[in-house]
Amino acid sequence: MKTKYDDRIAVLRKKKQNQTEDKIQIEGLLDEDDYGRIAPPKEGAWEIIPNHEDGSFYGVQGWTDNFCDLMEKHPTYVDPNDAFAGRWMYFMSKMRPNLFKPEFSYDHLKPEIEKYNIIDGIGFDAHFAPDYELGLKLGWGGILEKIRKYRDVNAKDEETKLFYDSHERAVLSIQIWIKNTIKEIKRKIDSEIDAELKTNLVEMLTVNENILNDAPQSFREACQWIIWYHLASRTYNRDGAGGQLDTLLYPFYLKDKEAGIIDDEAVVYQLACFLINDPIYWQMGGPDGKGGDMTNHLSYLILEAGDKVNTSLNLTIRVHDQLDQKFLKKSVELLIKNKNAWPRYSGDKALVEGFMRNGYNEELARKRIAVGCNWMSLPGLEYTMNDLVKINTGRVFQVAYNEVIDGGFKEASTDKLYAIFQKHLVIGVKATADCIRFQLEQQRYNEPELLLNLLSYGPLEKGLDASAGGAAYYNLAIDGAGLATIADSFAALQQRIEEEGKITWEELDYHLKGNWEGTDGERIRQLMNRSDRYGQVDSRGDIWAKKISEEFSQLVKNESDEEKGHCFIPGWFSWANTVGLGKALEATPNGRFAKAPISHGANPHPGFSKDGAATSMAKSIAQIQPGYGNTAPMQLELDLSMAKGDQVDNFIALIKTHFKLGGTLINVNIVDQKKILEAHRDPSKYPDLVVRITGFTAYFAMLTPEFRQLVVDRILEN
Amino acid sequence: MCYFSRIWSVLYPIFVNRIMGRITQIQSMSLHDGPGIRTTVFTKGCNMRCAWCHNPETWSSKLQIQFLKNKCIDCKACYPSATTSDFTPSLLVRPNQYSISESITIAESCYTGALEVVGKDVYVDELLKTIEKDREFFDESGGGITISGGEPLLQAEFVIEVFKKCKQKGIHTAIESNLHSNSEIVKKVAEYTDLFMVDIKLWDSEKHKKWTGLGNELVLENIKLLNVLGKKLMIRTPVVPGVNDNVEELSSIAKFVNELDCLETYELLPYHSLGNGKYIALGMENEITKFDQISKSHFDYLQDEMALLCKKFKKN
Ligand code: SF4
Repeated sequence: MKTKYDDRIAVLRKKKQNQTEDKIQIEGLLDEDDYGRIAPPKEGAWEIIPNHEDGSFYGVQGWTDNFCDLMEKHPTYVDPNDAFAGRWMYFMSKMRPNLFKPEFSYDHLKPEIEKYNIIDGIGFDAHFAPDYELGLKLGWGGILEKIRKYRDVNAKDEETKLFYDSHERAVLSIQIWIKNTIKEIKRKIDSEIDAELKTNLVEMLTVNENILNDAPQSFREACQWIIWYHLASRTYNRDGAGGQLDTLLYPFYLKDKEAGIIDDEAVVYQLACFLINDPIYWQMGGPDGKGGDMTNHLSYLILEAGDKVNTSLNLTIRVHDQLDQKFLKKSVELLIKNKNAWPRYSGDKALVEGFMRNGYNEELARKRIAVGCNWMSLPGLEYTMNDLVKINTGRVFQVAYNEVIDGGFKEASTDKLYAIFQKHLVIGVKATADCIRFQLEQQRYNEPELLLNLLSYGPLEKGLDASAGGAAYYNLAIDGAGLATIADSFAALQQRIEEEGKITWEELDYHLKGNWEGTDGERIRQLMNRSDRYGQVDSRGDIWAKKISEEFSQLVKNESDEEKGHCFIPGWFSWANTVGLGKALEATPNGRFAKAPISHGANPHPGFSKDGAATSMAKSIAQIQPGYGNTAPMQLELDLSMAKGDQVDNFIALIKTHFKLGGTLINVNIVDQKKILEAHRDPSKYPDLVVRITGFTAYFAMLTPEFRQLVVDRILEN
Repeated sequence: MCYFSRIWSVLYPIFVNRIMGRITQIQSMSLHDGPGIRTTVFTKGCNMRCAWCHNPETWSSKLQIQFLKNKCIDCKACYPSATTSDFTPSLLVRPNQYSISESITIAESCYTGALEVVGKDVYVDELLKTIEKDREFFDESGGGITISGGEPLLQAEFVIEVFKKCKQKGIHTAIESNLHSNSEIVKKVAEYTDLFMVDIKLWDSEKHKKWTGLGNELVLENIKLLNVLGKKLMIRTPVVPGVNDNVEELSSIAKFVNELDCLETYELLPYHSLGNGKYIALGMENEITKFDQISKSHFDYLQDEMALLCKKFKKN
């Protein structure tokens, strides 16, 4: 339905497109999320203030000085067509030449990190969720009061006093940014000639003046407050976690509706502006603490707003037994209609049951929501290092394989290989957990979580950083990467060497070392590649994948330490690292070339079966879930035959069945193959084409050619 | 395989009376072969020869070899050692060059998928296992199994056995048949079939014979029979330029199906040229008939006209 706000949204959409193009021109291509960030102005660009001879900044003092300086100097951003002010521009955490203070050496961990190609997560930040509800209740003034109150109680030493002072300074500096923006809004009001836009700016001004110190009262104020928090938090260290958007904003919506100061058209416009501001991960639907459905009228309006902006969006629908079926249907209709890779779907049953297996109760498990790329979090309650720490199981396999071959071809067998693989996986997983332990000890001195501490329960109360005892829970994520690559490798060895005798270990090794060189190499590569692969439900590859996943899962769990409150949680996810992790890997027995990408998340390799049926992939992925409340997502690439109105019910059936069988997260691309090929040849032709890379979406035009190729291959081969 | 297992594999089916069917392919997550998410099984062997057929590999009931040139890496592993240098893999798809058992042995040495055997014999219980893999998806979507072809009724015993087992397990059954078959067979199959999907390709029987090799009297009789039996019918007409893309031809069909009480839907399916790759890969170039692509506007016009004549018409 067309509304009076549609023209404004169209202007914002066009502007967003131009901003993306500018960003590509100024900063080059990037295989990442869009983050809603725009390129800063060239003139008078802000630069970091190093506090270390290596040119970087570290510690609470360094971070606070840098953040406050940036906030005070941050360019303002006001658009009369927008309901809200503000955009972020500086990727402060990425501007450092070095992530981790050299004095805090972790050289003792490096041999294993290198050997097993571990993404150690040391010095990595954020990736746990704030509780926006807390912020909306307190406002900036309330947060300052809280900081001061607990400083009086806890600041018995210089370190703790500095902790509180730094948080106070950070909040005050955010307020300066808002004040500067208020001045800019006033300037814009003076120069605006269109009466309606002028009114909009006047309302924007009031909203910002009201929330400068006080807690938000209206729907628009609540949205603007959330925006200021996440713009600041994004600037500080990328953050990006959202929350349960429909219930978060619902009380404000109801209040304004009852007071007669807002209608649904205005709400949809404001939500559209809210969504275009930043593709934060918001969850909708899903169960409340008792299992009842949380879908409300606002959930529908958020979808409507998403439909109007249709940019890069990370909205997740939490699917559970009681979910409003009309809402689910509407979301699928939009996914199919827009073909812009949103929304995505999160599977409540397996996530809740899995998380409870860590010893948590059902009510808490239901509060753990989908707010990140692949990840779940209890808003304000846990420190997780979600999606930061990965072990390349392909490398573990390779180390084991080399050891088997060194022992002589005659002795080689898949049994022996698996036993040695297990041995190295134990060492690799322990080394990965050690990296996390190191981070928990040192990160507070390296990079405190100044912003996320503000909206967590504990850090301010205890005077401790979220990374160092401030949070209520430490549910620490370790993801495995490359499952299909190694499961298929085991399966191919078993089938072609041991069962069919089509090739010997020696011949295979010759071709692996030669990277399948020559016609004979290619022939053998095809033989191995066409083996019984993971993704067919009960193939040899599936059997290996299940076995490996169970083993990995148990090993990660074994690293938990009740006394220290460390609960390690396994997942299968490679994020956008499939390319990088693949580069660290020689040719593998599944017919993969040296340095080619490893398999994507929990997905089978493309071409996993002759008919490529999504049903068998869905079932296979459901079977390898690590089962403790973190995800092993299914990335679905569907062609246009699925993108017809009459397929909505079938698609819903696919989603529900995957979740019934144990699936945890579904990311979807519905792609016109012709369009994606054209866009690959000339990305500038489709500047608004969005694809879901993994958990996140990105503008196709922003990706590097290598990454675009990867996405294209995935889509075409499926 | 050892000697005893070979013997056992031959004798076992005889002891337990296992029924076997010859198929070309099993496609899971089929979305356009009946309601819901389905698994479609394509049988091998057909009694018609529709000139526009996209599935020539299902015509012959015999095993065949296909050669996909684009997958050939010229490794020469398939070259029989005894043959002279004039061997090329494409020779295997020519009739009378090699016996099928020789060809199969040669094709097995190809690891790239360039040479493949088309056709596979499956036992009913084996097939059931594959079908049941998607059971949960059928239940959630209202889907099930579809047996297509080729012409499934040429293997009626197999179809009956598969459907009987499916019905015992509560799986929805659908068949895509040309219904050019003995009415007793149709009746027997109908006992276990929830839905019949049937093409009426042309109204005029002479033309039907010209373009498909067989007249349509039996087809129409069997449709009427199924209607009397109360079986759900989805009737389709593939619209092929120069064959039946005119209102006169189609309206007779639309009027006929409009009288059927059990008609679920009547649809027109636009002819798409998918290229001749399959014909070439199978050495069937001589069978290729060229048709134009149907324009969208003309197809829409025909659909609009049929919608006026048939109340259950479904637009595509
Ligand atoms: S074995 Fe296959 S790939 Fe090699 S020459 Fe023969 S047909 Fe071509």
